[in-house]
Amino acid sequence: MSELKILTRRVGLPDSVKIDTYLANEGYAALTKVLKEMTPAEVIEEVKTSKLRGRGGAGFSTGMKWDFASQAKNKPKFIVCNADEGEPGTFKDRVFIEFDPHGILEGMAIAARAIDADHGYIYIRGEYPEGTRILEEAVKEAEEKGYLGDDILGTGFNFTITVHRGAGAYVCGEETALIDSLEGKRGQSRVRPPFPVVAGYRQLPTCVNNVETLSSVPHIILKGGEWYAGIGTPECPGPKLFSISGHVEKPGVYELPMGVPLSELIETAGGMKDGKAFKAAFPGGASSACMDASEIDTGMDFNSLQEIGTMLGSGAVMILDETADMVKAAYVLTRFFDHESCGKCTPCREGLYWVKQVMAGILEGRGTEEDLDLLVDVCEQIQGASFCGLGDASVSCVVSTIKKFRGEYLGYINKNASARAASGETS
Amino acid sequence: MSAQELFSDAELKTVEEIASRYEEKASAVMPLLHYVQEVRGYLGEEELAYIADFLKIPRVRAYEVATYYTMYTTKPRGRHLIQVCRNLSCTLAGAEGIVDFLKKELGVEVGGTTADGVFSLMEVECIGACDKAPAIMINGDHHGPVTPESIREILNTYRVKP
Repeated sequence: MSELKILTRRVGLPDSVKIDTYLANEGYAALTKVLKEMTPAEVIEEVKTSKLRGRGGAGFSTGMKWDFASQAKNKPKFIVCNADEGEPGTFKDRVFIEFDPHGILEGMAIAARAIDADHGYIYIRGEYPEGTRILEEAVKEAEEKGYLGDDILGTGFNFTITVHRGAGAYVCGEETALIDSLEGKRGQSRVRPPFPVVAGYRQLPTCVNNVETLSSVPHIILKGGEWYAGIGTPECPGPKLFSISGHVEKPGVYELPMGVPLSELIETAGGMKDGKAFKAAFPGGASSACMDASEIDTGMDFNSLQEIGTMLGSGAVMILDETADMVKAAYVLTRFFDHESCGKCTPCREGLYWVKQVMAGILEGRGTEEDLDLLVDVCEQIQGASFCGLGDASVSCVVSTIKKFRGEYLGYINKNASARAASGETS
Repeated sequence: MSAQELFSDAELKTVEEIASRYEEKASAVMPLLHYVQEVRGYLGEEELAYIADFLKIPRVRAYEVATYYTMYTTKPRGRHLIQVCRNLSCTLAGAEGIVDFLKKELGVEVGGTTADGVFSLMEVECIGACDKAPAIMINGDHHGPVTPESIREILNTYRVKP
């Protein structure tokens, strides 16, 4: 499938990070339209019409989120741009940050107008120091040209942005942990309700949106919600940036319509590396259940992937070919979650430690078939028993690989059993 | 130790400027820790205490933050920090071999610092460079896909850097 050039239309232009380039390519035209020709309610209505769903992973309706935030009584309100993309396999927001930073700022300013916020924060992951510098420079430029700051475009609208850099904690990509972190604490998830749109940063109404979500907004304002809703699938419309990595010829970020079959996405990324056969994919990063070869034609959108028991998440697609060891892959992902658990909820903190230990045992030749039942049992107790999605999603890799690639686990276990039998030991 | 003994006037001015970006002072703790670590190489007990007092937050809170996030360190490290990604996309591309190579090449274990104080070696989770797997990050710069040969060259460029 041919790549789209909507969200990435300015990527590749010379000096694409500069405000002059941005302005010469419809930059800040949407903000001008919003401030001079639209009411905040009309802005929210347009975004609702577009059916834009949050690109960070949850897929919640952006228009609804803005609506809730606009109705919140307390003031001041905040817009937070979640640029903490930490999901293993995700690197698509880096494209916006490093090549089209003003698109993010413009989306934030429009969101601020819609919900009546006067300050915004961009929470960028600590591993992107260059992106941090680019965003800070973009904010400065926008302030100098009057697109941020006081009395923007002479309309009396005030809005400023602070760039805030994280320091390497995956859980901070989860919005309530991000808010804790922004408050200068250890980033740990909060119980909801209250939702951030009601009580977030400093217990004030806070609307958290992903980089790609916010970057989509100026396009929606300029071309209309109906135009946007016509791209992709009816329930999950729009163009989407997919990060594809692993065993493909050309790993990278590709802009395609929502709902593109996984097989076509792989083709767009140059096909399978060295012509090997496809074995499995994690379509939504470490948090998603794996897909096997029978599912390769599934559409890459929130609903289609949910129907087959996995998820799109942020569109972090990791491809594994016939040579991949699924037990090892699941172990690597479990080790990651164990490392990143914030420690607040016991099932996630303690459960993941033990899942990791049992998995390591299997890999090291100490596993038994009962271990597989034990793993599934522990995983089921972790799921649904934590405040945030990290806990829930952390065991998808183990549960799904046991279900779909049980034979590979048994391979390790049987090798172990026969080795023990040969040495005369009883299990 | 007083602020003047810990920091130069110029550094104190930067500290003030960073804090001024936030209406809620406590929110400035992370950028301040980043800054102090950048100029000192690590977060010492006295620097942490100073930041906490300056922001009027409990000292333990600054310490909590400094030890919770993986990018902060309360102990001195080598001049250049090598971080090798060990997550799935990099593992599929041979990240384990990269770690083994670096351990041998530098003569240190993961978490260690070379005797000359030039390099520290760490394994980390996803650094957002899966398109360049296997990827490593030295200080703030991504490198990849790396091979033992390319790493040797990369290390040489850092050896001569301050």
